[in-house]
Amino acid sequence: MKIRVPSVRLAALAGMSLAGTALIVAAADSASYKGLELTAKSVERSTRVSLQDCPPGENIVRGVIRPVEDNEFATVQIDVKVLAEFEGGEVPKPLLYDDAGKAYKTAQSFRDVASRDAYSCAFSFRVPKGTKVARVAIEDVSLDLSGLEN
Amino acid sequence: MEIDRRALFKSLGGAAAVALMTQDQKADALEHYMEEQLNAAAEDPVYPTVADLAAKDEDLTRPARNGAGGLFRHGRDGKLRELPPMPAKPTLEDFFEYRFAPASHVLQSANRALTTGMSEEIILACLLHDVVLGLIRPDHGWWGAQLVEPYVPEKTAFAIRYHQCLRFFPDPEYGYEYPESYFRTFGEDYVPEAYLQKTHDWLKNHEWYELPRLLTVNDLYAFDRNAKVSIDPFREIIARHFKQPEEGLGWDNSPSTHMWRTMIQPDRRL
Repeated sequence: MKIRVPSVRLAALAGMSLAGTALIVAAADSASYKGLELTAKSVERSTRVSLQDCPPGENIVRGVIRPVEDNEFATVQIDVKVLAEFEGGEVPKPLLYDDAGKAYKTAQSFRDVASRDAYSCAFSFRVPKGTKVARVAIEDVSLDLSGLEN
Repeated sequence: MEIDRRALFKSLGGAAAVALMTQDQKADALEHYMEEQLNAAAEDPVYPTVADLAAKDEDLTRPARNGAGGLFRHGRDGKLRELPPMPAKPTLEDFFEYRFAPASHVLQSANRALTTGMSEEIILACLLHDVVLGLIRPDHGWWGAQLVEPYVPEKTAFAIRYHQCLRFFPDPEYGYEYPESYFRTFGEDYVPEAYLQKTHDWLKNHEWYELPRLLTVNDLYAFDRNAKVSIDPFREIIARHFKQPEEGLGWDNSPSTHMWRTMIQPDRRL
């Protein structure tokens, strides 16, 4: 199931020309999950990430990839808006899917999601280096990540 | 690097505490503070190697060895903690008040287990998993389990015993990541010793693997310096699962009673 939220879906500006330079800006994909409006904003790669839950608190712990490993973190930034229809309850952790459909888990969780009206969270997923990410999903609600890699 | 003087003093226990420090202690504290701030801000922080840390251990003028428990070493303010006398028949909650306080990390960890719907055995394990650090630090999982084993469910002791080992092994299935702090504590190139590797291999196939693993997951999310969690939400769980001895902890006849007694009177000479 995928419910689009047109009001927040950013305009796709593919092929827009700016002073002679082709500027490709991908759409930030949005969807609604049980009264939470979720927008995937970016995907970044690193070997050191903050492990704050969502919405972010003050936990100072960071996770790292050890030098001997052939992994990296793919960090997906997700903006969250709590809509009036949100009824509370637990929100499952998101899963990241690569382009072959393999799922990856995150250490981070949604907690007290209604404690603020809007916030941005960075969920990090341990993946083999160079993994092509396709989408992030909470149960059957998916956000497309294509074109969001920096 | 610009130093936030107020934040530095606060981290050391306030201006009064700083005034009591020697020049050497102030220099050490400043170096430590700057290292923390730099690492937090840096894109690509520099971590010590195993050899760097071993070289530090050769300093025999240190106030204590790395493994000394918190009750036996001074804090960052350069002073030993003041320890109030304990009640004649101390309960677990008395230990939280008089010896483990502020116990912020274990309380946060237990609170996360509570709010994420984990079992009461796990919540209790989270609450108790690091309290032995007042006594001793190396192999604190094994020591910590031994400390509470006579009084808690078997699953709780199991989780405490093996959480220390599992901290060295990331497990994406459960969402456990290798903590950056271990780069600083053990060295960036540290490889867990054979006894930890063997224990990990054995645990992976154990039917109770999940217990210490869930403890490590909660452990990661319990380092919020601003969080305030009291012991109140856990009083009922303690009452249900912790076998409080009538004589008081430290004065009963359990196999670990001497460990509690040592925490009651850490200045006892023999």
